[in-house]
Amino acid sequence: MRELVRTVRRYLTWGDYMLIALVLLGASATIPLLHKNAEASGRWAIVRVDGQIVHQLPLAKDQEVTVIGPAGETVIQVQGGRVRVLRSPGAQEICMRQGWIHKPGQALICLPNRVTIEIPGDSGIDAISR
Amino acid sequence: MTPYTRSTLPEVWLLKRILFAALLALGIVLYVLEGFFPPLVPVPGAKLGLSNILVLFTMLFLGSGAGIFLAVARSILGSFIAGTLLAPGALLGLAGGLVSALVVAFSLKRLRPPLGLVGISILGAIAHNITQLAVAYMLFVQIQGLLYYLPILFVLGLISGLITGLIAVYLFERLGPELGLS
Repeated sequence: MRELVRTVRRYLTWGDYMLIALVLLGASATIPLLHKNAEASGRWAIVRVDGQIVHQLPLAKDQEVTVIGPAGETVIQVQGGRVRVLRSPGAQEICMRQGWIHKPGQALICLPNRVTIEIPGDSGIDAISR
Repeated sequence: MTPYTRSTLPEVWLLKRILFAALLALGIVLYVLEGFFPPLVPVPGAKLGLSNILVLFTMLFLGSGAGIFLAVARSILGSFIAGTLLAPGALLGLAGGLVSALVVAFSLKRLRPPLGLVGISILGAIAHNITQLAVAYMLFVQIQGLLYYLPILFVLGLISGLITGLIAVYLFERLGPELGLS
């Protein structure tokens, strides 16, 4: 083992070490940045009114969207890879109190206004039957 | 084998042809054999690239032109034998192999004092991975998510280049004096 280490070290020049350090540094510097984006990218929130898809919102893009349902306006906010309902008509305000969702398979449902917001899941039965 | 130096003797010319043929045959065998094994890491296109040892080797012994030719011929003939010539992966392998060979040829000429053979091998492996990703992105899947493989491919290139580079130096050290070209 010691023999092997000695041989390996003899084979490497200082330039090689520099290159290895540079690559590791560069890769590790970009990982957290990319990881954050990777979670949100490629994922969408599907907004339906009365079962009809009206919006497909990419979670990577921060925005606010207003949809009109039978009971009035529902305001949907996308921020930092998460989505929530800002305002929606309805006495119980259930969908607003659900707060943020961000995981595949999660959904927000504003029943009075017939609005649903779903992040399509890529795990479980859907993936198998696909 | 008697040591020889650069000369125009017909025997030397013949020897070089034979050596090239043997190296190409070895490269194809390694290329095909490697395809039989399941990927070591669950990242598409990630493999050790053992046949790149032969590319580096050919460049050292027979010149960069021969090495580039070997890289291209190995990809085409290798995927022909493996039966994947018309699969998308073959095109990726060909593009990656070609760019990687060009990078290695350049660094052998220009970057060799600071870098050793291992460093050059790492550069080649990384170039191979990045080219594959770029070609895959341009031709097949325009998903941004593909770019998130980039840091992974850098590190995988580092590892595979390190391993193949060490093997190449070992071989070169053993066979170089034998062939009169150290």
